[in-house]
Amino acid sequence: MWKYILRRILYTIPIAIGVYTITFLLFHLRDPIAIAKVHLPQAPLPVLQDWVRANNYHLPLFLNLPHHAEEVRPDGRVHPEFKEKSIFYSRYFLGLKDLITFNFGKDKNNRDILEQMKERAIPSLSVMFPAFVISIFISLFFSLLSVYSPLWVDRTISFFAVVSMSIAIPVYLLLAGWIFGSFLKIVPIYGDPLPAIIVAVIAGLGGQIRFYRTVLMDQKYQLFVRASRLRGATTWYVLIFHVLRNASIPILTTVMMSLPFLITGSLLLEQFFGIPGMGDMMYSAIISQDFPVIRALVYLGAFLYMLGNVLTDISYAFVDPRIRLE
Amino acid sequence: MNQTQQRLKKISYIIVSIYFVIGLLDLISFRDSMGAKFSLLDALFVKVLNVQKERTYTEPFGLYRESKHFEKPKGLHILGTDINGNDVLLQTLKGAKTALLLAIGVNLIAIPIGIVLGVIAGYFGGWIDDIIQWFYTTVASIPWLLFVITFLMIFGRGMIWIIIAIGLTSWVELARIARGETLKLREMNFIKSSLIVGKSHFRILWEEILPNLSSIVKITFALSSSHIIVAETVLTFIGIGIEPGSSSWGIMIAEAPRELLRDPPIWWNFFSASFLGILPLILALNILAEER
Repeated sequence: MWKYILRRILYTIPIAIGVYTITFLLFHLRDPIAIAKVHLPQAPLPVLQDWVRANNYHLPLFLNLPHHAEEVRPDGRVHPEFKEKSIFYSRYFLGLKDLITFNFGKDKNNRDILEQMKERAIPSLSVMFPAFVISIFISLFFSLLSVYSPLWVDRTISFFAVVSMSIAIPVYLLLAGWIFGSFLKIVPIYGDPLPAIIVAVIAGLGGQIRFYRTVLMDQKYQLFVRASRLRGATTWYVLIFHVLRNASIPILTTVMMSLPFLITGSLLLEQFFGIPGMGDMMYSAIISQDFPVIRALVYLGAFLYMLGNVLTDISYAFVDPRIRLE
Repeated sequence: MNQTQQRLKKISYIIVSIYFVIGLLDLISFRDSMGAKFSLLDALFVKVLNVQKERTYTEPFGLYRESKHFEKPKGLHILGTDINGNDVLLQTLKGAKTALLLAIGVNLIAIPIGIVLGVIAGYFGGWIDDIIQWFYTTVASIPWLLFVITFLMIFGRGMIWIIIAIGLTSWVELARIARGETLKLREMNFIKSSLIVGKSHFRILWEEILPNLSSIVKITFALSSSHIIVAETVLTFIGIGIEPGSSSWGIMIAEAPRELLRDPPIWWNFFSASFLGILPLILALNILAEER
């Protein structure tokens, strides 16, 4: 089993490099001056060139080859100092070094991005974690009800699940804002986690119910389930020791794969309800065109996703004996 | 599949076709004598139903006005008008064109990439499979929304960039499924026999494997279209989607936070976009995408 786990962890290294490369290309394929223009819309050319230098955009892209030192750049500068540097003195490798050492740099207001992320993870978590736990229980309840009840109940639940999947998130937000703000007037909508939690639960419910229903339906007609029933086991016994246990692998996968969203939060939700979490950080970075913040968030999101993937596979090894033997 | 489900699927087909026809009607446009663009749908509304542009908001059915300083509405507006005085029903129908273009554009990029990579990985196996698997796992690891947002921030907002950004990221699931399906097909006897007969790999892929993937492609088309339409509203809501000025459901919803806070609230714009525009279409697409 340890061999399996080790192999699984080593496999993430090429994926991490791939993620870094794609993200790097996304941020660096365009002309640096054009990116500077996005950043500082009305600035004159010298200011733009200074921005390019300050953000290391004047360095060679992948490798610091000898010709880069003599090359005359669009800003009229030659870089003889490149000669003394190593071949890896380039945007790609300097960026990789920063990433490995968790040096995300500073945002537009000169604050450390990593520090901000640490601060903002907690509000995100305080909304997403309760929502996550509550929605697992509610959706498991409804999907069990759907599987073990007359056909018309199943149909009704399925239909409402599909309808709730078909409503876009902004619509949920606006409806919630309207209902909480105009009709109920119980809670202040802005800055309070409670309405955000309620909306997060309701918006995700439909998809989860559909998914768990399919998983449980597959288990319901398995032979061992029927055999156990024939031997006289009660519904509850079969449900807990056969159906839920065997359904735990797909359920575990979805649980693990939603871990990144617990920390990075939901962009729209946090922006709408004024939760100072990471989704809100993302939103303000989009509004102020803050590239370093966006880049750091892309890396963080990808890192958490890969972490979730590895944890899922490792947890399989504990739940499913077939994997342990491989 | 039972009767109810069949009936539901039939209704869904009809709904999607209606949206398709409306989108096409709005796509066919010509210039009038003043040089302004004019689509068939506009012509239908203005010439046949006599729906005129107003000065500002009017309520559904145009029965009474927001304030008595404004004159009486010129035409009948079943769903009222928006801030620019455009008929909301017409705007909602016009949103179908944007949705249609987005869905077709994204799928034109994503489906070929997904199918080609998935089929090649599944059919040839070995190191080709390893590389393709590595590639799609990598793309899947990058948070989808963040990739699209970054892409739009760097290249600018607008329809074409949204299509490219979403198209470049949404092929992963299809590639994964196509790979699994090809793996299964490869072991089947009809493929083995055509190899023995001497068919080239390319002909086997083209004539034997691709036709067997058509149901997957159909499902993916329906499902990803519904995702794209929702994604458009999200992106426009954040403020980096479709530019204001063109008509899309995302724009109508993005304007809603301010409109709902007015007194009296302007609810019809938001409601018709989300419950007449998006909901039936996405619901129909989701029902069509169901396997069983």
